[in-house]
Amino acid sequence: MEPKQITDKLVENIEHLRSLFTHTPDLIIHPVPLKTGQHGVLVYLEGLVDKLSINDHILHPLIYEGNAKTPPRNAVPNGGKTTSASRWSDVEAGLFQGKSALFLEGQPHAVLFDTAGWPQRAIEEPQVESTLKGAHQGFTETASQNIAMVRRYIANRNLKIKQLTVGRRSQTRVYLLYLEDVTHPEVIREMQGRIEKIDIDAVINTGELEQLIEDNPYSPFPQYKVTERPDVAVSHLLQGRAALVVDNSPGVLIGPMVFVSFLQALDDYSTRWMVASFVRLLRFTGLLIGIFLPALYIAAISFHFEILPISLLMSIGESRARVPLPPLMEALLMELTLEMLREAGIRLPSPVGQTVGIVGGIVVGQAAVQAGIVSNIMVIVVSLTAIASFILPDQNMAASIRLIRFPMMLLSAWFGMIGIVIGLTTLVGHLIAAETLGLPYSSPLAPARFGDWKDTFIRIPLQKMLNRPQSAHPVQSTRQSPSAKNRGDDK
Amino acid sequence: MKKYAYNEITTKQFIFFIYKTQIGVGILTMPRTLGEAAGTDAWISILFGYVIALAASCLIILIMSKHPEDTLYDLLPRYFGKWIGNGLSLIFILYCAIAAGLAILSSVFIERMWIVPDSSAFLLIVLFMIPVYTVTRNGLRVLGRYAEFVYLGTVWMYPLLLFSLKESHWLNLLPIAKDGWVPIVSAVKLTVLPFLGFEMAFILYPFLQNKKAAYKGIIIANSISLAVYLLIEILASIFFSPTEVTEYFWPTLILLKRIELPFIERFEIVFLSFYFLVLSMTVIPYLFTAVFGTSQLMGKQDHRVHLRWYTGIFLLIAFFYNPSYTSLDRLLTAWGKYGIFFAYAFPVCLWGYIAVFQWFKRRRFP
Amino acid sequence: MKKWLPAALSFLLLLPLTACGKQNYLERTNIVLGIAIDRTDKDQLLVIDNQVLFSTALKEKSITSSTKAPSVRAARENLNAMSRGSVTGSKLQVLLLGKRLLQEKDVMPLIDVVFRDAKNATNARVIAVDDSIEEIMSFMPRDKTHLSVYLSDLVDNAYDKRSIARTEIKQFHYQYFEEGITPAITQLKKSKNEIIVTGTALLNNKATYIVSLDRKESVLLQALQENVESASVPYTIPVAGKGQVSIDLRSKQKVKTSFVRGKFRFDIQMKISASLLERTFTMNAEKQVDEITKMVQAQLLHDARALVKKLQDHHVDPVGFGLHARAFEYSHWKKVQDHWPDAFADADVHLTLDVEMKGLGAVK
Repeated sequence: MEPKQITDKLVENIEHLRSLFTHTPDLIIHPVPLKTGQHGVLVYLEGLVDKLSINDHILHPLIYEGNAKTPPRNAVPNGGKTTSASRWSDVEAGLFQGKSALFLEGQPHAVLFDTAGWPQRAIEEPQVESTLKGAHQGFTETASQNIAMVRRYIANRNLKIKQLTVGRRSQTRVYLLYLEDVTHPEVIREMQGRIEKIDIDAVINTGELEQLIEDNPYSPFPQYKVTERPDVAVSHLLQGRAALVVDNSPGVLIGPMVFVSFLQALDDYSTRWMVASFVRLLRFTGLLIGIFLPALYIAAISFHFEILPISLLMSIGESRARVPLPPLMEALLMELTLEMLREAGIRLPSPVGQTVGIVGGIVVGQAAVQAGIVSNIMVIVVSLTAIASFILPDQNMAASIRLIRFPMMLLSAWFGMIGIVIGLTTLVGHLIAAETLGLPYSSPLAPARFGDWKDTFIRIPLQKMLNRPQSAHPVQSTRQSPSAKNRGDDK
Repeated sequence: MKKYAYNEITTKQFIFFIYKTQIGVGILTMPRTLGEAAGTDAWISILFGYVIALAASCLIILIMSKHPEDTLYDLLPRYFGKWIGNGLSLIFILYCAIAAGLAILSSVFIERMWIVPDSSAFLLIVLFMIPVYTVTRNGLRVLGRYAEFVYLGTVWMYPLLLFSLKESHWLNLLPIAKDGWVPIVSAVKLTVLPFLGFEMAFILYPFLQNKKAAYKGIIIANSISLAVYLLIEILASIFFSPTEVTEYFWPTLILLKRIELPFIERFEIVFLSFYFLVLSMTVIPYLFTAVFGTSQLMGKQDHRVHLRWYTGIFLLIAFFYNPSYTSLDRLLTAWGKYGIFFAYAFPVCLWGYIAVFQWFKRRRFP
Repeated sequence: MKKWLPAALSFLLLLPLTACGKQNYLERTNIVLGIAIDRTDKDQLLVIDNQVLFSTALKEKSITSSTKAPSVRAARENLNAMSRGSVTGSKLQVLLLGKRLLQEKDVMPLIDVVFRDAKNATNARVIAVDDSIEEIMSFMPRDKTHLSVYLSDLVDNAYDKRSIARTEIKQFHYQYFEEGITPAITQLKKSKNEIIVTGTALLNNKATYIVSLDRKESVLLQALQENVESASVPYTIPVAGKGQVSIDLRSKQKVKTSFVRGKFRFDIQMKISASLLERTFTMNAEKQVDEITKMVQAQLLHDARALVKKLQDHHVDPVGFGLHARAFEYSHWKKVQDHWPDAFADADVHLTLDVEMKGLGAVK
């Protein structure tokens, strides 16, 4: 029978430990002769602990200092938390979290010291989300460090953190961060409920967790944002959203998101408002071009060429006359080539990646036109589309947009402009029906919240943005006192 | 007992919902039908039509406000007893279902005629049903959002009509009431038709978040429609000659044909394609009302099962029946007559009945 | 829902297999840019069309073919039989009408086909051709642009200077169906190696040719139509014995309509602002500005009155006085509505004109 409790006999405890951890060469059981004469062992997993702090702050004080009357838990290594555990399951979990357990003869519990110190990456700027004016530090794979980075932005006790565990085997620690006086309690309840409902073997990174807790797995659009930037996470926290820090993953999940917020970047708030508004409009244009341009081109030259002015019609007609493929095939060929080039560029090491660019740009683009396989105009359309989808700040959203482009192209090749509009309507029908964590995904467009529009298509001066956006239903909506509004007008 | 609390709609959604239901296929032919009846004075008839529509709308709100938690389908059995009440509901449902069907048939007819003449009507209908189904299968809350989207997504289309002003003949409007008031008044019966759509308030009212704003909402909705109709009617009057306007089946589209931008010509193709959004917002409310009605009658909460049945039956009919222009026109005229009954006469009768009903009740239990 | 999702998807994928939307690819379509119609001696129509040719192998970019048929649609069928792809008139740029046809027939029923097909363009310029349409249609512009594009550019440029009337098909339709106005269209002819615009052809309400205006008269016609408000239009005024003065004019006007002694009466007050472009004799423009102004005013008034008289003599009203009559004298208009040009011929037109010299140019 397996004993659940730690006994007060040290030898039995050691034996039980050995039987628990078979084939675990990195389990260190270190005998500690206390200065007081007591016998004890310190147990930890090599590699998960910081050996220096064990030496300096545990072993040294215990062996050379101290007396019988002071309990050893006062020997606190590097300021971490010290707890005592009397159940084996707690000890086991603690050891896997990088704690070291001290067993003493005659005591039916173990003292767990927080000696975690595993190999970790230094804080760097995230590769995929670069910024012009934001902070240049990104989340790492250690949850505690990530939480610390968030805390540094919000020095307020209303920043609450709920610790949850996901994965029966991986026991991944997940922290739900939110501002208690801003975030709607329903949002937190819903999110927590969904995480607790997950019953899975292991979760490796945030992207997996994201899909496990989203509302509609059949939607082409991302329903949560995953960011590696603490400043982005904080700005969303301040808008009344919740952030989920997943241990072992640098991505922090943010929800509930709305569609338009995927088109906003943090830089929008640190640049001047006119520039920021211009860039915002540019992104919306990019979004439309990214989805519809190839489809519109196909519709125009295979159904409705009369919408083109005569001079444009002539030049398109001349360049099309050489091409043996129908427009849809031509477009699919180029779009697929482009997608392959892009995918090749991501996975290849960067020196080879450049070669891909050259091959793509010169060989495919120019040679295909000269050989008469695709038309000049098509190459222009495809590159415009590519550029347009690259300006979207969120990678997940950009990927979705790229995907939607293909059904649109098919629809337009079958039904022309009507096909495109039907596609648009279906897409819209999907978007407005979608909800994340019980909140409408298409806000503030529909349901129309005109108050939020000053931070949607454009961004008005910060002085005028007194309230938090309503899309996440924040409990507390004021974000700036109105007196600040007039500051700019003072003579 | 707020049984519809989950699907509440805002005042804005209420306004756009009704306004977008009102604007439909009629707008494309309106300058012709009105031009035939009242010439260039038709805009006055529209004003009269607006007043009548407004009166009828307010009457509907008045009736509905007596039982703020009831839709029409709950209200009718309450006053007429189970059998007659449900029978009346069924007639209303039939009217809405036919309205939805006709709206789709005529949309497809126009889109085929003007944009894709070579494609099969049935396939276009199938294609149309995809977004219609996607939206209608959701609750009224989502339909409200769709109405908002359609409004925001098509609001750019009306100012574009102003392009036709470069060929305007303002003198056409003078003299006002040139042939006396008889043609103007006789055209009023044509102008009440474009305002059809406010009868949606029968269904929408209990879902409305702020019931105090119902009058305001329905007045604003009718007024936006009025503005659009006036804009189009006046533009058509000064663009076409009074006899010429009756020569075209769809004068509004001819107006659009004149739009030429440096990068795009023949704007009516783009316009008409996007007009599908507007047309869908005529189809969806009627379809929803019908589907919602039968689900209520059969006591089902989930209306999606019925929606599937409707879609199936509708596609089946569309597969075998492909109307010509004249038969479609005849159907639309007939539907217009029933529309006048359901949107104008029905509220008046209902209101009168309720008044008498309550008077009797009060007499019996003083 | 999840169960029948695959069914719906596979149905969608099957869609393209059926004959759904029939594409007409741009490069395989013969786009007609210009149509010319005239009548032959045997009471048949001569139809010539000018199409774009999308081909890299050929140097020529357009192709012109002609046929004889009893109607335009029948001619289209003949032309269809000659062409490789489907023929469409959706980008029609010019519609040329031979003078012989215009003199003998109501052309509106002939071009009915243009309006009936919703896909057709309505912005083609309607042009009357003075002599044979064959000569015009076989003309080859020196810079190898498409003939029809060349013609439409020619018309547009001349219209910028208001020396012709520019009437698009839609406007032609309007002028034909509006009782208060008679159609006026561009007129061209071929002289030696060039095509030149000669002015405006005036038609009656049955779209039959009546009379032509030269370029100078056309300017005044446009001024009367209130089309010279925003454009500045050159006009030349001969000075007896000395040479001539050229001015750039803009004009505005007020029309007062009344019905006096059984006749319509139009009091037209034109306000013309002019600036000097050229003088071909010596004088001090600065000092003699009043003199020039008076000269210009007298000549303009004379020309304008002559124009109105010409219109009345020929029973045509391209200006659209009928619109004013309808707007302000509706009861009297109602009686003459069906034969307005005759009533206009009887009307009293009182024209006054006021010239203001706005600029004299850069030199004295």
